[in-house]
Amino acid sequence: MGKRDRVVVVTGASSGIGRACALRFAERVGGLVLVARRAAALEELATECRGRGSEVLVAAVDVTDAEAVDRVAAQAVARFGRVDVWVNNAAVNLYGRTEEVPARLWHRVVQTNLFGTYHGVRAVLPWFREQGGGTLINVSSVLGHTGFPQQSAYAASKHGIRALGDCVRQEVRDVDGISVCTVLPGPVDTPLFRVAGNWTGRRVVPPGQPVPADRVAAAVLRCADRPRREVPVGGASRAGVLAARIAPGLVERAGARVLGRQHFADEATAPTEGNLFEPADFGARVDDGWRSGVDGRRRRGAKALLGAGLLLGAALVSASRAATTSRGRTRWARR
Amino acid sequence: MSAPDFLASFDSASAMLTATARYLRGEQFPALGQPTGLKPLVKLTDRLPRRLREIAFIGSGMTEAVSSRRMRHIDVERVNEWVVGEYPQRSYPAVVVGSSCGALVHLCAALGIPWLPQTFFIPVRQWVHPDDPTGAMRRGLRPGRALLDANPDIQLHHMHDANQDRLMVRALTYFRYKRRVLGPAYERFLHSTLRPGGTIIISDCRRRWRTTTLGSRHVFQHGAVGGATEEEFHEGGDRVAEYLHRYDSPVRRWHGPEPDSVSPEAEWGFAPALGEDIERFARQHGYQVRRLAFDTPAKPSPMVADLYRWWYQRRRIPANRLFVESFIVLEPWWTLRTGTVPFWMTFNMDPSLRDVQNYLDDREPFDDIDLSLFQHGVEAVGAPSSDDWRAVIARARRRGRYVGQDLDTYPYEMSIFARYDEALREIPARYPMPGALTLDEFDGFLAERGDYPGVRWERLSVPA
Repeated sequence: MGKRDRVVVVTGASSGIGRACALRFAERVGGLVLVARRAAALEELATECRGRGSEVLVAAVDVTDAEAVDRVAAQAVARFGRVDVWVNNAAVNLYGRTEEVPARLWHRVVQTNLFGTYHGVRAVLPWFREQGGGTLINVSSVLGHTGFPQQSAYAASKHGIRALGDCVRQEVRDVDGISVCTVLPGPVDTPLFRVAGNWTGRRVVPPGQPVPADRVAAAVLRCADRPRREVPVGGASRAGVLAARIAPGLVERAGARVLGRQHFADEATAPTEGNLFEPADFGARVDDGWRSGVDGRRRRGAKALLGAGLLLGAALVSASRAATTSRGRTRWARR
Repeated sequence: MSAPDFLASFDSASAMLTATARYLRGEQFPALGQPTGLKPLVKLTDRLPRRLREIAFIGSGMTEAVSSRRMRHIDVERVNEWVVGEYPQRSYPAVVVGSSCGALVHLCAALGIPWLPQTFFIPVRQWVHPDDPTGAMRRGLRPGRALLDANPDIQLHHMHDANQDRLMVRALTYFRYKRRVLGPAYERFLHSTLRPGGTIIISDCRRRWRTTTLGSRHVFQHGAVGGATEEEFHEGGDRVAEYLHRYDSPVRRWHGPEPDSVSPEAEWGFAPALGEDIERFARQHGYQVRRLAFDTPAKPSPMVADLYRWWYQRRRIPANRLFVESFIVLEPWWTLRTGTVPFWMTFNMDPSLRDVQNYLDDREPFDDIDLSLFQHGVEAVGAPSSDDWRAVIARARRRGRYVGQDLDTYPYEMSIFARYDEALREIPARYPMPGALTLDEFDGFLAERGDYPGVRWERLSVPA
């Protein structure tokens, strides 16, 4: 089967990374299934995707509904005969201190991000097994490797998504044709920051210079063509993942001191549930303009400084650990 | 340990035992359990003309035949030693003992339990005219008595089927013996592998046949389960006359010995003496006994097919695929690996065709149907046409497929024995091999589904 004949399902397709993925896939595959809560936004996107050459099926579904997601998979197979790629991308975010945010909001983030991904995995894997193959792409985050202040629900869910992918990857090892990929973007220029739930009392802005959503979409498409286990997107993400592995303590301190400050503007806002329960009536687009303007240039400088600092710190910690180990060995040898 | 050389491997018991044991060992069952290196040779038979195919078929049977002079030296306990050696030595919640049945192979696979056959087939090398059952009976008397004298724990059913086994029966005398007691090997196996308080399931096929008594443990059975009815074997008929004419026989009906008894059918029927011994053994060791009784070997097939479909639905397997199996052309490992529902047919004759038609009539349609057919090289009484079989696979909603090469060559396509497993492997679906169902789950399934005609699942009370 040629790449042009593939059938792709994208959740969270109405905006941001999902929308960028849909638009890119529309030029390259035969069948596209767009999943999100907002029917109108999906229909508008579907029209654009059809214009790019793909047949489109629209499914206005909340990924927290396991049975509805099951039906999406079945409808995709009924319509196109198969599903070759399933992108679990739907996500929401909530800012606020863990002990302060209402529990139901925290739950909702995990329900959408982690449970939603799980529902997608659960829905599509039987069909992948039936076909003898397929590529599952879960969009996690660099926060799937490290923590972050005031985003515990998001980071916990993204850790969970990464762990879920790792588990499923092992479960499907008996079928050569099934691949499981985890994509790890850092901050991305999407409406997510603006529509997130916010219990911090301050306006949220992206930390550092966010990458374009289309760049993440390009990474997703590369996974669809050539599946890889984990794919960080952008230099900052790669550095962040590496630093989190080498020097997790240092990364936590940096996150708490530097990134925490970068992430919130000095502008008071009232608590909001954002789009956690009801989709926002704006933001049905790929980017949100975070990459332009003076603030952007300032953040770009901060990001570069932070990345370099993280790596340097990681190197120092590693060197320090190596020295400690070496001294320890020497002492052991002397005894 | 290899199978004793006096045992036929192309027989239902041997092949089904091998398939079951291989499944429990986590292995596949290609080429009917024969060496896969022979596959290219078997496939070459497609290129032979019909007459040469028949000779090749007879030749394959002849290689397994044993001399009648060996009968008094045969110790059938060696067969039991081989049987128990085939199974992994581990703890089982239940063990089946008794009649052969292809659906039972899949039931054992689902429950993860072994099956110890009661009946085995010793092919004795003797040349007789296929249409002279009385002469065949006489030729079998002396070797039969020698076998029985050497083995007091068995009963012998000399079977002569000039219909389906026309090619073989001229060269081989079909000695099917049935164990009347468990014997040391089976008892040792049960004792070492059956969990304390575990269950012995008696596979009790109630198929009977009118027989001629030759001794206290010795009967002659004229005919066998298949396309011709018991009456046609004993009394003849238009279909028999036409068949004998087609094969240039000097007779237009078979003149067999007068039946004077009714016995468990030679290949499938369960001899009750073993049941009594199982109950004795269970009493002594505190095991439970349950009986799966079925009127004919075909009766459990709908139940097992439904069990698999139910099981797949519970496992959220979206497949809706049926594999129609015939006699020993079955594959429990690939069936589960591909999420396929097995429907086992006793053979490849009209009654089996009706069985699968009835099953399909009564069930939700299948998307895909794969059909295998055992090939016996005879245009026998009651053989369906190729078009009849095509109509079966045409009932698939999406794709019907015959797993051999050419349905028009039925029943002469021996190469299917080398191809059926390859055809199953071509199915792209791959599902994880499941953990076994428990007996309680099986009970639950049956309670949910109700009774199956001709099948009884009974709990026997075994007094302490």
